[in-house]
Amino acid sequence: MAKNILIVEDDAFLIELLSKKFASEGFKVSEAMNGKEGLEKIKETKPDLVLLDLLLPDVNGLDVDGFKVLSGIKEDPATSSIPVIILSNLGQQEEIERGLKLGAIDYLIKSQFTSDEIIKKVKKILP
Amino acid sequence: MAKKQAKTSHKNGAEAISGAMLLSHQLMSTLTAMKWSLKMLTQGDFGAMTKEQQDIVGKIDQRNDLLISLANRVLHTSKLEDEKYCCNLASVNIETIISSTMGYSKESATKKGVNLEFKRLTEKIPALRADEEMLKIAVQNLFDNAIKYTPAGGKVTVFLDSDGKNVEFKIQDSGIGVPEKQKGRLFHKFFRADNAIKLNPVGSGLGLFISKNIIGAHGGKMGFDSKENKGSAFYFSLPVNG
Repeated sequence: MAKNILIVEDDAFLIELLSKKFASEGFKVSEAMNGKEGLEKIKETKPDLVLLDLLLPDVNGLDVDGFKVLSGIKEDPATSSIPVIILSNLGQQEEIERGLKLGAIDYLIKSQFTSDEIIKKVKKILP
Repeated sequence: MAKKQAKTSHKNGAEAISGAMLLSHQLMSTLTAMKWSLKMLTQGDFGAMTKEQQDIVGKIDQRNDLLISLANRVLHTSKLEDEKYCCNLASVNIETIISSTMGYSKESATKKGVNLEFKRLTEKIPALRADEEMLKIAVQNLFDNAIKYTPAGGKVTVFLDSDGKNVEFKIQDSGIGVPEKQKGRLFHKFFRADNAIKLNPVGSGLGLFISKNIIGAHGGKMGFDSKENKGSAFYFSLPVNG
């Protein structure tokens, strides 16, 4: 059975690249372009893994950034076991620590990884 | 009146700095998208390419990586100039920073044929009160330079020592060195020595400036000894109770 990956990311070009790469490796990919949509899709579809950006657009003044999505996933027993990899260009120690403390399984700085390295990380988590 | 003017200009400065931070974040997002797509192109995700096409895309990719490191430098410089980012002090083990930097740098050194070594000159290195992230940047810049400006077959050795009051770091290379007449300007913002430009035309001229400022912000001192065509040693000393 193909594993389901949800990408929560506001840059359509990055989504396009990641989707192509994941699809070619046999994953099923869905996407959300803001935090609110991301949380809804996670609760609805229970993906096998979430790739989560941190800086997400503010929809309707709700301001659901990646950290809020992450705590939302981890606080709900129905979704708390879903592994979340943070994929961000925020690389401050504080942000990394905060993300890992909130329950992210890994924290990847976008500009330091390529899409195939991200796939490798995901395959390790979802063998 | 003079005081008021100074205050205003400081405010404008702060705005410019956060503008620079925002700009470098945006630059980084775009450069990342380019990096990912260029890598995918060379890996054949969008179909096979001729050898010549692969070659040129590979070169664009290298230039793009360079832009990423430049954008990072701009970000670091702007953070450094913004007081609230420096320094987030905590107990830091500098040896951990050095071994992780060694890890990162080993690959580029090996690729280049430069021998990279670490020597601890005393048994115990005391912990420092420092901003770990900033200190990492300062150390990484010195490693990057040493490897960048040392030709194949050369040697880079990192020394760590302490007398209990200060921690002394030194990185010695057998590289191109600094021309005598340019030594005074080496730590200036955007300055690059003539022989460095000749060897590697693209560079920000910010690395040493950033490192020296980080060490200075921690109450430490940084300097260097160098002889052109023989090599350089960059060193800093940080107070243990800084």
